Amino acid sequence: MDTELVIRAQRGDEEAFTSLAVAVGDRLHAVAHRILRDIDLAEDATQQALLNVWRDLPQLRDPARFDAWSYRLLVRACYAEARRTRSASNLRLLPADEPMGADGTSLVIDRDQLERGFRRLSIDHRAVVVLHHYLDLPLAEVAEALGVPEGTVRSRLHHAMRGLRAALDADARPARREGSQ
Amino acid sequence: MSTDRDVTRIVRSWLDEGVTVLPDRVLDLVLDQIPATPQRRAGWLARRFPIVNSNMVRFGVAAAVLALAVVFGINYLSGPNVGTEPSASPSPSVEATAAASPKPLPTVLGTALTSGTYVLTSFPVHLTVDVPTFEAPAEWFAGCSDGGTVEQSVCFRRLPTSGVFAVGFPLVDNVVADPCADDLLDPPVGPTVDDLVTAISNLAGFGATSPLDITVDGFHGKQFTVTRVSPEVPECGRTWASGTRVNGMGSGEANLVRILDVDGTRIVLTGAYDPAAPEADLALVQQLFASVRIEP
Repeated sequence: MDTELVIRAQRGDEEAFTSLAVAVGDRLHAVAHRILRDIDLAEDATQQALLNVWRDLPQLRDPARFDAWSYRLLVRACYAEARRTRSASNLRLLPADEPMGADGTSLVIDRDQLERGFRRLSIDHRAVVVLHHYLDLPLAEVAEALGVPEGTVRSRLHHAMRGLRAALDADARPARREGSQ
Repeated sequence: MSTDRDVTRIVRSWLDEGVTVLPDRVLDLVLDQIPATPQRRAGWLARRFPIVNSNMVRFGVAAAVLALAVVFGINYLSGPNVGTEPSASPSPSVEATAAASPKPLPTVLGTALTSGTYVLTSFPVHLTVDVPTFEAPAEWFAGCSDGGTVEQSVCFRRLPTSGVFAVGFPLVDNVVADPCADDLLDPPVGPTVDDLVTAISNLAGFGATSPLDITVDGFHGKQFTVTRVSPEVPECGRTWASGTRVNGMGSGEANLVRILDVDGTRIVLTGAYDPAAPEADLALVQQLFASVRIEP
């Protein structure tokens, strides 16, 4: 991220913030969508996160750490959206705006299994998976972004991946049993 | 049974799918709200400089060389009509001519400052503060918050990307009831120095040192340090209020706070710094505090 842009925005330069928002908006939205698994919630979370970025930008001590800081605000916005809609049950299992896999039925099954397994994870665990496996952030940077110790990130990732693996395996076992009968 | 590698590959492939573009309408909604969304000043902290000591050494050497050059130039290179008065101290200092005619401290965000003495405008008492000279690359500027006239401030930043520390002069009239929300104490803080010292010292999530009695230009008051001790939630750093503007402190930030009674008028000076930063940064805050002169 252009730190000079961050500094200008910190000092209230709305034009600089516009450039900043354009530069990071897509990435934040992509992350929010992967954490929340819902396009509408992700849009709301991204919108709130960007507003919070503007509002709290003067609190950012080191402009060079803008990316990690913005992810933290985004994850907090995701928490808020998830809490706000906790009772809602309109999350789409396979969002219509996502392309289908190119390699046929097995991928669709994997995606379905993953979707279910992922939804069983807490936002804490989802955020670690997305930041590490989607953004390719090293665990130390994930820890910085989330404001937790690296050991906590490692533990969350372990439990999350174990949960996803269990989801994949659990859904696979009945299929195998059916095939053997 | 899936192997760990299988699971990781499947998860990564699955995560690669999905939206990657923020719709323009969402971005427009954000940008439309920006003009009406005030920024929250807080983390204008000194950045940690692991090599600050050597910087200070270089600064000292540079100042000494400059002083020698000035003395040499005056004594040996000037024409016979040039005076030979002793040169002034080369230490960080204020322009000699500025003290006699202080410049108004700008209230516009980010206005650059040169060294010299500045007088606060829109302040209940006559207060001046000295901006010292400093080695480049660095910059001094006024208004590092959106406080405008309710919080004038002198700010310093090392270029190109350091954080900023600031000495502010907020017109504090109340404190927040909860550092996580903008609601203020009701009834508001009383009018005395002690009232405000107590209210700030009791802010949840903050720690405060015992207030020390101080006297500045004959006016009595208290000085203490407030440190944010519960920084886990970034939004919960709200502190005091100036009119409708609520101040906040960033994670790990400390503020040296000086509250004075100037003939019945309570004034507040705040100096934001990072307690873990090199002493030179706090020293600059203290230098600015020490330069303050007050007249009723």
